Amino acid sequence: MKRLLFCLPLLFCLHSFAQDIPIEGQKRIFFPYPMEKGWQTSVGFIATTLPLDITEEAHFRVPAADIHLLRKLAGKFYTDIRFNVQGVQNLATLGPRWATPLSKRMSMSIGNDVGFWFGRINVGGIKTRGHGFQNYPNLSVGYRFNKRILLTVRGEAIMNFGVQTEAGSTPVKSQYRFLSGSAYSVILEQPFAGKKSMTLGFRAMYTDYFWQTWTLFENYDRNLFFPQFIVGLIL
Amino acid sequence: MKQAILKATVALALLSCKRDLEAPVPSLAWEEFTSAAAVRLPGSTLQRIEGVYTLEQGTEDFGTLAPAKWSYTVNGTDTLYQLSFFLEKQSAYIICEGRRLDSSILLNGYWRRMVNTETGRIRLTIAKEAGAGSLLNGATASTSVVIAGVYGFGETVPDIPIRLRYSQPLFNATPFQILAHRCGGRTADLLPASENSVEMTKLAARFGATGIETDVQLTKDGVPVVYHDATLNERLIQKNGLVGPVKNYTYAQLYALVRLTNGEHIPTLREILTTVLYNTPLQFVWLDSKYPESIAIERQIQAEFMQKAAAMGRQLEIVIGIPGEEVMTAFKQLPNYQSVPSLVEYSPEEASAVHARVWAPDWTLGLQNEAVAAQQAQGRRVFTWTVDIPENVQRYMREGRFNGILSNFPSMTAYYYYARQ
Repeated sequence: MKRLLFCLPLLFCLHSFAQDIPIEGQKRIFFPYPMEKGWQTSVGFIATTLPLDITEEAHFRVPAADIHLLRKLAGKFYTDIRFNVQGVQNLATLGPRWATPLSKRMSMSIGNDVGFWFGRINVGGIKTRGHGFQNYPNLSVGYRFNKRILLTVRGEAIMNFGVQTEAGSTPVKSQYRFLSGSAYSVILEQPFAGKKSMTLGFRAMYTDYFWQTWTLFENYDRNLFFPQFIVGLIL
Repeated sequence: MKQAILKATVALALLSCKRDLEAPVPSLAWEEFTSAAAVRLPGSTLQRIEGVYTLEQGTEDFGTLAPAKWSYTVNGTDTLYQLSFFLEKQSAYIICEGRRLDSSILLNGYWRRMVNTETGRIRLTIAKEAGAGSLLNGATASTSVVIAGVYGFGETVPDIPIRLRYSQPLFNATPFQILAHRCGGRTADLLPASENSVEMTKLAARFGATGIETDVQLTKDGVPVVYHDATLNERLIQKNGLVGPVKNYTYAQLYALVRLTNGEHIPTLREILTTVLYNTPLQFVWLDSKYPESIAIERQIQAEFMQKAAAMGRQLEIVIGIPGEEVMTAFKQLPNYQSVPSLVEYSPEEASAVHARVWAPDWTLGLQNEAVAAQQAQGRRVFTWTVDIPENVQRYMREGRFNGILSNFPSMTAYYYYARQ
């Protein structure tokens, strides 16, 4: 929240009276706009702070490598492909997007990402493993400021299904809700070094289940807050 | 357009604010129940109501079976008797007080689901012709006993019908310890009291616990206190600027400056054991020794309170928990350590070596039926911890040989134990 409040004044400042630059040709990965070229790639990381309600005295902020690709399909359609990699546990998502301009500066997209996560971790000498599926229907609205600053505001529903975990040989049958919660993101993209662009984002997740916490075998049926910080370099 | 973007961003910021979750105990106001004509029920009557009830209405929210068990809390010269129902769906429970009104029995209380924040009021009645007459005259519950009433969500006036019919006695064929984690439950579970507090200890039996586990560590001046985490932190205490390990502070400093999340002070081990002994029906205490330094004084206090319990004719067992080798080394320094009641968490061989009363393996190690049987053959009981997932509790009771289960949700363990055929 403090970080968001810090960002807000920056947003006001961004809209200065500089020369306007058209969206075409600007590198973007989250900004909802029809693609001109075949591929767009971004690499970076996502750091998630896990709530004390489930981690207790250990305050984890777990980074995951974030590899994000867009593939143009046809017209206003493209595919969003994403990998969150931690080695011992990983998530891959894939989903179509349809994006369209709304005005000279605004645009939007709708999409649906299907994900699969899997992990295998030795916890205190006990081999645990798990996997599950996710679904993220999402809506993004973008606003293009001057000076090539792209702002994306995104809302997503979070759905979890097919979660299967095992501690040693003991199956852990947790009954997670299919409709697990929702997430809200604010993402800025702007030119960075050379011809690259940079992504800075904040994603607030409210969910009863976050795949990275599967080894904790929690049984909550209430939404907890998982803040995420997104940093990426658009190649 | 700019305004629209600004509004959307502000809305997003508001949505992104961390929301504190709460599950407050709802108001229990019920005019009929609090009328002068309504007389408190003695524990003996509530004991006669005990049994497994079948839900004829209310199944969509609570499931089909509801074992009912009574408990008590002593507050000074007053003893408060409660009847708790343990329910299948989402580890729910109902806690009621009972009163007699003419020839009827009124049960007034609240329900709560442990896995989320849902709670609400509940008002139940056993009419004279539905069994209250015979219960009040000393008969035990039978299939003619019907409890009917209404429940609601949150603070709304209850209006959803619920109806329970007695079906069978509580299962008690094999002795079993239903152990509550951290004196009754975790602070994160939004119970009416903080974990490891005197107030939580008083609640444990209402949640179905027959015993508690609690965490012991020493203050700077050597006072054994009950607190789980290594440091003072926002998870367990109200913000006060103090940080760092508990052992950096004297007990006087902790008492004066630190309040647990729900306003209680960090209790001493003596306060917890005094509460267990004099205020509750709890029969078992597992002292989880966080550090080896506390072992010697734990032993003194353990012996003192077990003597007090014996003098009162009170069934109470207190064991020193040994979670690992470091504490084990300190434990073995105690004189006659093999006769000191203890619980070993990690190694069955070490449990045998120190003549522990209990071996307590982590639940993720599985059923381990052969190892459990081997320990039991040596006269040792075996508890497993910390099992919070209903399917696992059910499986461990059905297929396992454990003598007890430690859980954050003792009401769930109580449900699966007492509802057994």
